[in-house]
Parts: sequence; structure tokens; C-alpha cells
Amino acid sequence: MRTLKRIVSLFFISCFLLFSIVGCGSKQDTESSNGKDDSTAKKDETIELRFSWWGGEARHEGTLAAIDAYMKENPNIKIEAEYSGWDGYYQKLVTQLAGQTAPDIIQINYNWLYDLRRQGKFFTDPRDLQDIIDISGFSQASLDAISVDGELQGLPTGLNAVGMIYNKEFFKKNNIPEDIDYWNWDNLIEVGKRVHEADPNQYLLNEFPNSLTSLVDMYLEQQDKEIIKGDFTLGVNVDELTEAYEYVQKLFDNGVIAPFEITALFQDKTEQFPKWLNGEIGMFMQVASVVPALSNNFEVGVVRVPLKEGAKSSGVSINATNIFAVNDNGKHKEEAAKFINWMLNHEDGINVLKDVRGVQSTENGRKILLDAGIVNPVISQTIDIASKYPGETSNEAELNSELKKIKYQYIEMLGYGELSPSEAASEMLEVLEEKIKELQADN
Amino acid sequence: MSIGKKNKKMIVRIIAFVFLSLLGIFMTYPLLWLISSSFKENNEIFKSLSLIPQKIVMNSYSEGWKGIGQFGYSTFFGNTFKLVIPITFFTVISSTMVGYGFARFTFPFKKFFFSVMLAGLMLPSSVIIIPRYLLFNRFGWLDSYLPFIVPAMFATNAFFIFMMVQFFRGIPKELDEAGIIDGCNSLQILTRILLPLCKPAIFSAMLFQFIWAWSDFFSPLIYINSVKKYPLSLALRMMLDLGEQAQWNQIMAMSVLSIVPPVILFFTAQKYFVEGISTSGLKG
Repeated sequence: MRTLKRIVSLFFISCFLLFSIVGCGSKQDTESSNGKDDSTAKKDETIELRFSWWGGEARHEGTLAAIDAYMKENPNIKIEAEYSGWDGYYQKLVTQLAGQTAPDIIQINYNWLYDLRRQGKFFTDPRDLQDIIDISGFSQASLDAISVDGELQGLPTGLNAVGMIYNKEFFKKNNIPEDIDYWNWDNLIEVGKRVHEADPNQYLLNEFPNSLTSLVDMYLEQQDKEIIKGDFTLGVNVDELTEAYEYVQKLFDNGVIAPFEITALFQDKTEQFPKWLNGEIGMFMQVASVVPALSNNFEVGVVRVPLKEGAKSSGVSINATNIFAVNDNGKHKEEAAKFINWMLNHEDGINVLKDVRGVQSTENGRKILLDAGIVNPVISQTIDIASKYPGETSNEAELNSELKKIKYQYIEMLGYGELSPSEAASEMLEVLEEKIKELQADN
Repeated sequence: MSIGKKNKKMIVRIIAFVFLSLLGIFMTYPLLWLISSSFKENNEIFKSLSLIPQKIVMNSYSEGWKGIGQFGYSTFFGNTFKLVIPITFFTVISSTMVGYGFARFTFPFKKFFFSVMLAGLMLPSSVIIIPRYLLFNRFGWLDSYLPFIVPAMFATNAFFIFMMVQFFRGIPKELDEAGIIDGCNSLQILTRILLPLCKPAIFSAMLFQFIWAWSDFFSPLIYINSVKKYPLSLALRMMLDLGEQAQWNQIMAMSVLSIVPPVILFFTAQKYFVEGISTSGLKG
């Protein structure tokens, strides 16, 4: 009796196990891509493309509209939209690339390029698909900026550059000239001091800890120096770096920028920064793409970054807002390329997408939107100023996340007053040297 | 004299009452701020800490519910229930079974298996993310809820097994023996004798699992690709980008709605839940 019961229950349990595994297995609606090229697909078959991007509401709506328009024109293509916010996008992408489950078309950020390329070749060089993608409209500089060792990783979806985005009302109130070429490193301190003395709640310039490192890089580049050169060697000596850090110290001491205690909390939440919202901050040194988030409550304008007399380079480079890449592992690379080409080069695509990814990256695209009157004037002005005063594009060392972290740590210690400029400079160079050795040993 | 004593008592009481009220307000302030923000205008939200909107906006709930383009929050709420209810249901059943096995039976390698299970409790979940991802990818389960539901069927959460084991150990073995004398088999002992006594533990497991699964962000982020399958935790963040102004009041409004179900569940099951926490460590 008992053994019978046991056999029966065993039977049921194994049935349950089998059912749960088989039942789940049969619902294979996901594509596990094995990197096989499916070029033998028949013309009348529906081709499914997956397309992932991050963004806010306007970008989601614009991109979804573009997908709909494209699918209407090409009934044999079905595009699966996988969109999300910024949080977690990169972690997810890395997991997908490792698991070979990444979408066919991927929006990526320019500062991930080197880190990703060092892990493997994930993206198809658009020049290998030249008969499908027309890359003649893109400036060579913008393509060089998103190449790794001469391999083009994708195509820029739009242009982005750093400018000084200012609150017009604040400038009027404090009698600051709105002249585009007004700023240099000396009058930045003078005016900043005056503004802060007039009202201790006011600061002329906002720098979060992570953007202050960029300011230091810019300051040095205008003297033809870089902390770390592209070939991973140090490009400054202790005295030069100390001088730059002393300048930063001056910014703090004169109340030109607010202490980190006030700003650090908001460094990844620019649009939530109460001091800016309340009009107590004069300007932001920020990329053009955040203009919409900054101009929520009042009118903003843009001026050139502070420039040293006779500097060859302004330290501002024109980057891609983000990049459309073709997954090298995807099954329908050519179809993916066609869709990217339609979005970036075709008049219909440009008209639907408008400026949801910043200023159009091709001459033709900019013209189309200008004629249609759909360009945020502040954003396009930022790009214009940056092209008038160009700087060098970021090199691999500048984008390396580990070296970036070190620069960031020392700017924090300097800002919080834990280290003097000379201590910060000498200690950081030592640590950087160690790290560079480590990195070279790895490569 | 006695009046003085009474007065003293009163004063102490008043002070305690005021102090506790202030502490209560301090603790719940973030929640109140969340609710009040859903009625504020967008550009006012981060400007002030006050709970009273300067200008009351009523449409953030209705507008936020629509979501964008393809899917609204009815989809996302539905998805979350589709995901969380099976997870909770299966976790409770499977953990109870496994816990019963460890607590009341002897079988070969029991000690070894028990330590393996406990080792699983110590393991940080980030360690197993990649192997799990690859495994589920092989099964073809990505972009579905199976990576959440199937592991729940097989009691993969050591925390709950351990909780159940401890609870079963607290129930006297004499009860089982009485059951055996009356002719119960082992399954009947579990369902008829032990389960009614375990109510508190089961409720705690259910509540914990429900709330954890409800607010989990990382696993859905990794396993779910298509927007139509997004649960709330992904949906609430899908509009947040650094460069664009988000409709914060709508996001706040949806966040308020998203905490309603766990809160209701908590208060309805509170009686059992508190009992479960306080007695699961006692030996009966």
C-alpha cells in the first residue's frame, strides 16, 4: 500500500517537473541570437528588429512615431521598441552584450565606447555597410570622436558640446554683460566675487564635483597641456597641476562656485537643483543637451566658456549626443543599417525625429530642421560657439572610467578642504602613475 | 501633595506625547512630501520643502495614468500583479514544503544540504546574476516572467526556507505523533496539523515576498526587454533622463498609487505578521 502511494506520488512529482520545464520551454517567443547571418530570409517574410534607447518623454514619443512611420513604409519590417530611462540602461546593456542577447540597434553613450571595445567587438563599423548607410553627410571630426583605434563604432545621432548656459534674469539683475565672448579666467573670478558679495546666497557659476574635473581639464588644455595624454603618459608636472588647482581653490575662496556641501547632492539630478531653480545661480558649464532641463522656469542663454588670451584650443570638443550602433551579433545587420540610415539621413526620418537627440549631426539634417523652424535656438547656438572655438576631442585616457574616478576623488578632497592644491596635485599624479602602469600591464 | 504628583504625571505625559508626535511627523515626512508633490506644479516640486502646494494641480493622476505612447499604467499595474502574485504564491508553497522536509524528516546528506542552503543565504545576489542570466537565456526565458516564477516554484529563496524550518522546529513533535496515531500520512500532518499552527510564519513569508517582488528593480531590468511587459518599478523610471525635464508630478502621482497595494496588504495582514516575527524564534 505504502509503496504504491510512493510510486504514485513520485509519478506526479516527475509529471509536474516535466510539465514545468517543457511547458515553459515551448513558449519560446524570445530570440536567442546565435550570431548567424540570416541573409537568406525571403523578401516577403517579416523581419523583426529590436531597437533599444534611453530618454525622457519627448524622446520616447518622437522615436516611437519614427518607428511607426518606418513600419508603414516597409510592411515587412517589425521593430520592437525597448526604451527606458537612464537608470540601469548601461548595466543592462553590458549584461545583454555578455549574454549575446543585445538588440539589433542600440543607442549608446560616447563615453562607454572605449570600455566596451576593450571587452570585445560588439558593434559593426558603419563603413562596412557603406552601400546601405550614407556617411558622407557626417563631419570627419564627429566620426573620429566615436572611433576606437580607427574603427567607427556607430553613427552620431546628434551633436553636443559644452557651453556656459546662463540665467538671463540673473545676469540682468547683477549687471553682467551678455556678450558671447566676454569671459576669461580672470574676470570669472572678479565678477563671481562681486556677485557673491552682493548677496551671499548667490553664486555666479555652478560646478558639481564631477563637472569641476572637466573645468580643470579645460583650463589645462588652453595652456596646451593634458593631465593624461592619449598614449597614457602624464602630460603635466606637479607645478602646472598645482597652479590649476590653486585656481580652483580661488573659485571656492571668492564664492564664485558654491561649496560642495551644497552642490554634491544634486550632481546627477541637475534639474532638481533648488539653487538654480530659485535663480540663485548665474550659469552652468554644461552640455547643450541639458538645456531643456535647465530652462524649465526661466529664459536661458549661452556664452562661450572662459578663454585664456592666445589659447590655441578652447578645450571644448563637439561630441555626439549619443550613438546608434548596429549589433555585430545581430541577425539582420543590413535591415538595421537601413533603419538607422532612414532616421539620420532621410528627410522623413529627420522630420519625425526632430531634435529629440539634440542638434542633427548632418549638414542636411540641420538645414531641414532649420527650414521647418524646429530647433532649440540655445542648443544650436551652443554648437555654433563650440565650432567657432574648437578644442581637441576626448582621448581614450580621458574617458577611461578608472582614471576618471581618481581625478574625481582628488577634486573632492580639494573641494572639501582636506588637501591643499599642492598636496592634491602631487598625490594625484603619484596615484595616476601607478594606475597607468596597472592599465598598461593589463593591455 | 497628591495633586502635585498628578500634575507631574500629566506634564510627563504631555511632553512624551508632543515628542512622539514630532518624531512621527519627522518619520513620515518623506511620504507626505511624495503625496503633496503629486499635486504641485512641476517647477515647484524641488524648490521648496513645504507640504502645501502653491497652486494645486489635479490632473497629474489622470495624465500620469495614461503613460506615454504605447502603454499606460493599467498595463504596468496588471503586469506587476501578474508577476508578483505567482511569485508570492509559489514561494510560500515551496518554502513550506522544503522547510517541512528539513524540520521533520531524516534523509541522507541532510546536514550537507542544509548547509548548502544556508550558504545560499549568505551569497550576495549580484554574484549569481550573470550565470543565471546565461542559463535563462539558454532556456529561452528572457523577456518573460518565467525567470521569476519558476525559481519561486523550487524554493530558491533560502531566507524563507530557513524561516519556515525555525517555525516548524518550534512546534512540538508530540502533535505529529498524535496525528500519526490517528492515521495521518505525512502530507496530512502538514496540511491538517502544522499549517493551521504556522499561519503567522506563512503570512510573514507572504508579506515579505510580496513587498520585495513588488519593489524589485534590478531583476526585471535585466530579464525584461519589452515595454509591454514592464512592471511598475521599471515603468516609474522609464521617463527619467538627465537632459529632459520629466513630468515629476505625474511620476510622483504614480509612485503614490504604486505603494497603495503593498500598504493595504500590510495593514490587512498586520495581525498575523507581527505575531509571526515575534514568535518564529520561540521554542513552543
